[in-house]
Amino acid sequence: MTEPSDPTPARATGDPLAPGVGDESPGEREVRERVESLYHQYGEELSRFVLGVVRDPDLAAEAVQSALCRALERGHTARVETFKAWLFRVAFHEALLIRRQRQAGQKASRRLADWLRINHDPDSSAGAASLNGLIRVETAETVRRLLDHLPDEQRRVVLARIHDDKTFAQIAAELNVPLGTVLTRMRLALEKLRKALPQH
Amino acid sequence: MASNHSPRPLSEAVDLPWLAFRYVAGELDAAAAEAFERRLDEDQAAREAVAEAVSLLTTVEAAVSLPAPAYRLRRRLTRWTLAATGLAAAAGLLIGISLLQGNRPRSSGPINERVVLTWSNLIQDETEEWLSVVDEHTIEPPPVVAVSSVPEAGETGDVFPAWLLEAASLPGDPSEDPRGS
Repeated sequence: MTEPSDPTPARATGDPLAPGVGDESPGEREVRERVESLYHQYGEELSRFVLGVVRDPDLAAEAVQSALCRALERGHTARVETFKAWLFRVAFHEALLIRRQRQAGQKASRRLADWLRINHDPDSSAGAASLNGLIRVETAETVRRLLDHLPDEQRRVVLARIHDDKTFAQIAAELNVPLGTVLTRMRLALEKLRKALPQH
Repeated sequence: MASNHSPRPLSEAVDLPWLAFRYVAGELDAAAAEAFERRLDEDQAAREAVAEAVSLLTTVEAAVSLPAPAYRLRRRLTRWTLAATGLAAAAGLLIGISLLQGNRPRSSGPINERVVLTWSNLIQDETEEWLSVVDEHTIEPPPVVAVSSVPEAGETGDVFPAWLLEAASLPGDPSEDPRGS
């Protein structure tokens, strides 16, 4: 067995890193310290992954918190070398549950540009603030330089898709090129831009 | 339960970042998105690809929103400087050539030579006329200063200097050489 077999979501009950610290047993303390260590090691990546599933910074923060609670409750059943994958899987299930709950009450999901730009909103909440923390200025500057050096046709597609939030079909119609050409340009551009991201 | 590290065909591994980007961007149709989420349940590489796609999207959006960096200003400045330097050099070269050539005819052939010569003379005449106008307005005559406040004998006491009165009183045709040669 490589992971705990039942990553059923559990509801968040508070700060996952400091519940009942004074009453914890040596085994519980070991688990907590391991979760803290893993969070520091994988927390940002975990937050990004969950954000990609729920596409909402606040919901993503909630899902990550729930996943960490689960890790404290049941993390001892996972082997250390597979703990990261287990943690991500638990977070994924939390994210799916939260997303379903949200969609039950609100059908319309946020568009890409909405949750990408929410970190610029002065009224943004803790989830948005955590998303803001995921972006490093140096990386953004590197990406900007790479953007500047992209061929013009690729840069136009990237900006239209990500910044202007146009669909690939809309971009193809505006540029009067086949959809496949737009997809190829985007794909080639992303391959170049990915080089700016820090490697995990 | 499927393994988190189950081997995937090479094409799937290569396409994973692209697939993850399209999933995050909401570009997959319902069936493809559902299939990808089944993969997310079992494939840690796919989960990490989603995290990377989010990182890329947020970073690109942040990069576009950044104020113009210094390197861009430098590049713009360099371009403008180069353009201005080029224009100044071209203008200087043209002025230099025109000064060197002066009023010389610039074309060969009798007709062209005449035209150029006429044009050069016209320019010369106009230039001299213009210079004389400038002189009139910029070079004032020397002020007449009375040497003594008490007029000597024979002096009129007017503002005309003595040498002018003497020249005016000389006999003979003014068109003749005053030296008598």
